[in-house]
Amino acid sequence: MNQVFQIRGAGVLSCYGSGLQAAVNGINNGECRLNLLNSQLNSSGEDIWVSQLNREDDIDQLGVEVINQALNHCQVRPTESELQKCGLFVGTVSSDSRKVEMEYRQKRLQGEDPAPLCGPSGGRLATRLADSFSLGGPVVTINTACSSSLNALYQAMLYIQEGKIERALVMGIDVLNAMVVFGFRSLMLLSDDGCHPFDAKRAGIQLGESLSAIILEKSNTSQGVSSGDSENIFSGNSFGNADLYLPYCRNTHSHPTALDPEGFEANEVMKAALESVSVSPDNIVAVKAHGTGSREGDASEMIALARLFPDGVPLTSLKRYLGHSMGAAALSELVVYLACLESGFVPKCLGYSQTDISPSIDALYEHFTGIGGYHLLNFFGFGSSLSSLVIKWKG
Amino acid sequence: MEGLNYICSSYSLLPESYRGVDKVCLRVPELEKQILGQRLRRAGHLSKMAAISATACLKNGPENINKNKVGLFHGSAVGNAPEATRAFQESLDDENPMPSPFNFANSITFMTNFHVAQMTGIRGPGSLVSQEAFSFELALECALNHRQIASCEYALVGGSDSLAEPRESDLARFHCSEETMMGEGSSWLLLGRNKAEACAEVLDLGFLRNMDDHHEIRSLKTIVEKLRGEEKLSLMPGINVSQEFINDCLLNLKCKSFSYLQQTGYSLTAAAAAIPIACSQMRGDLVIHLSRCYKGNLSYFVFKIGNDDCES
Repeated sequence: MNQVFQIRGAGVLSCYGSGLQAAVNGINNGECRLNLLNSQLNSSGEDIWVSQLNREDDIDQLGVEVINQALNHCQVRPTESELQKCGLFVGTVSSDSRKVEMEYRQKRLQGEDPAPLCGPSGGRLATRLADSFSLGGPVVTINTACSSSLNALYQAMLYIQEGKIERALVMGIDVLNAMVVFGFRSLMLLSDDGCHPFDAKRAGIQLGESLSAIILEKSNTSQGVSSGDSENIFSGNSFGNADLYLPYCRNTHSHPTALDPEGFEANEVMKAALESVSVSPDNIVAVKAHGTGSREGDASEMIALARLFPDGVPLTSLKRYLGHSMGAAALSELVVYLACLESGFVPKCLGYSQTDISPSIDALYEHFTGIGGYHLLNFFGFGSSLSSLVIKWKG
Repeated sequence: MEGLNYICSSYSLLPESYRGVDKVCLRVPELEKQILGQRLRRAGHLSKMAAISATACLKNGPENINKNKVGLFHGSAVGNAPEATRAFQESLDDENPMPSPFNFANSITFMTNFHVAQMTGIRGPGSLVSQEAFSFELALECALNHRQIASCEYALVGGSDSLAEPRESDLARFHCSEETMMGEGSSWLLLGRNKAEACAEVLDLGFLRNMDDHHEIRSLKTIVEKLRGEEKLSLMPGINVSQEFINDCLLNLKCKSFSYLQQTGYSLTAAAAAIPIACSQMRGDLVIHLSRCYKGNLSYFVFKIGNDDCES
């Protein structure tokens, strides 16, 4: 029997605002929150379209806010002594980078000649957040590019499975900064009119920013019931209907910034994820693809999906809704997807009308409501880090 | 299923001179040809060091292993510092903010794992941990946590960091004094499940958080007493461990001290070099390695070196 995990509470800050409900409302209404990159970050003078939080708060304040959301979302809020034994696993690419850039700019405006990258290294943000909530378990920052927060979830699950901790606070954190925006522009990967996942007119990614947090524990229906907790901590909680299995994660090495064009690697990872939990493709009720809107990446993923689901499957991508928030994307998409399931639907694939990829299957034109059963979620990243996660929605 | 505790091989790529930051840089082109058999054109400096060192480690390990089932766990606190620094400056250029694609791609630390995976051909699960002074120790713990994961028969575990230029910027960044010998490099272990293939064994790894020195020493004493047999005990003090604390350990743990930082220089992932160095110089010993993060928390790992050859 595979270990099953559950989410005791969750929170998100996205382009729709603060909280899961704001995101669900925006998505249910089919809203795309695409705006011009603000002038504070954009010194190029060109129009760059992104999905921003539009918040001026310090990254630490945003982190504290989203953790509090997750704690308040819990049916039974973790006690202080539970938090003292809780680990923190953060998936991020940029971490403190915007803060470091702002300080650098400020010093230059004051006529100084500051050293670049003068701030602490990437893990310091996680340490500060752990201190803010007196978390006493391991503090681990994972950077596996765009799959970072899924990898953080995976590592947290293994710590729990190995009995090293009983619960974990898992976070995805990435806010836009000049290096990311202009770096992606230099690779010519940004779309001028946002993300069109799998669509014939897809022309690149739509950058976004988000923070998300979950409290993760063993399911009390799985092997080795979580000790010391009341049996009803998940009942009544919106995510109590979701069983999460250990994701299948793999390093591949076809290309540093793209997937293999024939989709073999994505196909292999999805198949392995399904086999690891003994679920056949026929039992999958819907797929949330990585679906960034890039020419090559989407083609590769679509071919892999068409091979695995030759008769089609309800297919969506959340990138046109939320933008691609890099290391935070995986966890933010997971919690928003679960919140949509709780509201009774799998979101339609916004930005999709017709594909030019062959072989292919259609993506969703409308929200899909037959949500009970197994779902497959893909999270891929730069550097060929591929992960697929199976969840079971019991609602 | 046996745990992934057995060290089948190890390798360290270290500076030859601590003041000369560029000594590793200078050797890289030659090592690329010698160990990899080709130049890594799209890889940044850290990626090159990591790919060379990881490839050498894997070559020293058992033959005919299934590379689809080798995991890759890497700790790096600062990543590709030279390329990240250039990408940072290019992105904040007021006139034309445009980093070179090479610098930007390499500023993403995970790109190092891609180059290691590509050069070694391994395709198992993996991760990159960037948690300051504990980046390597946590990468090692993540690997050990794959005890029950069948798709991970072996695990390559490494720690790598590179220096930015000028040297003064690194001294300031890590609050080091002018006299500090900064270092860069990349060190790797191949962990397996079969004792017969092992030249060393990881016995314990942990973290002592929010304790005073007295309680830390007591905890270390308990840990060592449980693991100690007839063999000699050696202490390898890593970064941020004070001489006073080392002296207390020597007295209470009844061990000798082996200072390896002179060989690695100061780097946040210097701990990764401890096992390869011990494998080549401390055969038969039980070794405890200690290091501290900036908050004062202590990490320890205990390993036993066999008496047989162990390439490093």
